[in-house]
Amino acid sequence: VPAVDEQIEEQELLSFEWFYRSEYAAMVRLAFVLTGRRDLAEELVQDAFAVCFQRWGAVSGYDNAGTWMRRVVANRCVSSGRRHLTELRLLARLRSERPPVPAMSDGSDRLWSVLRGLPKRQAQVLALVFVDDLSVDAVAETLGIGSETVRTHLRRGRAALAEGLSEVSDGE
Amino acid sequence: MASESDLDGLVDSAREELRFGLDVNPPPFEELRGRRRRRRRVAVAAACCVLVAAVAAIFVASNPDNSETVVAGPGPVEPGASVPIGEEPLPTHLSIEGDAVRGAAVTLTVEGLERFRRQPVELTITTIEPVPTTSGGDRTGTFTLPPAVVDERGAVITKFVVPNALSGADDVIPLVPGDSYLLRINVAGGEVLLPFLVVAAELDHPYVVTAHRGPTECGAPPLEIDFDGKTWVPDVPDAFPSGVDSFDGRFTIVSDQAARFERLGEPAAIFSPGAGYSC
Repeated sequence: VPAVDEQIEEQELLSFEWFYRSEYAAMVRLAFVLTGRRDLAEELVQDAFAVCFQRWGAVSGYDNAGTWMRRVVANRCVSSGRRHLTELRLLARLRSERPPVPAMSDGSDRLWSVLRGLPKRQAQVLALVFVDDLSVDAVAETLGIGSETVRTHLRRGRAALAEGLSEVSDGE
Repeated sequence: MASESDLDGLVDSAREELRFGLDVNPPPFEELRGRRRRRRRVAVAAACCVLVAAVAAIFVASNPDNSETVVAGPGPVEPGASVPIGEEPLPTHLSIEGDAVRGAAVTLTVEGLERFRRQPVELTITTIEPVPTTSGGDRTGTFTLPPAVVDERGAVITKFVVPNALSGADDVIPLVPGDSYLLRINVAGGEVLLPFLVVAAELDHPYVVTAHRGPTECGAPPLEIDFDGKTWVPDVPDAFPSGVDSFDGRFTIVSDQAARFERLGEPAAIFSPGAGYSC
């Protein structure tokens, strides 16, 4: 019969693995929208999950571990220092194979491209609303900012996005 | 400008494309476990890059006519090693006497700061980059060493006990053996960064430590040695005279369950793992 400590460790492993499998794709989608690169998105997300795994004892006790993960991923995607470190890791791994670039329509490409050009916070807010369909309050909780601030970023971000998309269209 | 409904329609279709177009399968769970080592290696490489830039910056700041050239960068500092971080004319060295094990006393010497003689120096151990915290958000963990001054030889020598953790605002950020951190040296408005490696304790190896009387109101034992993340208590507390709050000596772990604490001129005392406590 395994010791109690071993049973607890086994249960924690199982709960983390379930969390990892159920949230991984959503996190990569969010990271892809914010970075524009699938390989970088996956690397950032896997790194965030590695951190989450180390801290699973604490993170699993949060009301919503997914919210914590989204915050970590969203912040890592817009942090230039972390992105450089992740790029270094990607280079260090020397993988010859690259994951296929997802096929997107021109409209989607333009939308995400203009979104990435917005100020960091606006881009994070719009990505969480557009990709994960989060409410204003859920975005506020995820990013650790006030709901009114989220509404302001959302309003300004949408306006900037609409303007940016028009400029792209006019340019063509 | 695109209308609100145009934008909503575009967002809806882009979201659907993302869901079905970005076919993502998580890599095997086991792969995650190997990532931490890779992160450490790259972090150390990045720290070296930061170091080279920082040393160059401080040299340029102190040498406006750029009449001399600098500089080379080291790897992580091994305990007891003396590592050159610059070439002439800024031969700065960091050496650590003692092993950088949590709870052990070490003497840290930085040489090559001739330009800054008699200047006060602020020494801080920090994380290489901000790290996620349990309270949310990323923070840089810091631990400030005792204040020091560059002596006439251009050296800074300071003794301190390697902490168990760094502080980051309201968060406690544990120091992890095997991980690299930065030693930040602030002097005369400039800054030098050196890699600082924390190591795990080894069996049968003596370390310089101090046994303390802990706060008994918090459930602390009468005497304890907090070493490498573990609390050790004497098997015979009466061997230590009352009225004395701390005892310096050499601490040697001989097994998971036993350690030897030797004070000058006193017989060795046996210590065993004790229970944790908190206030």
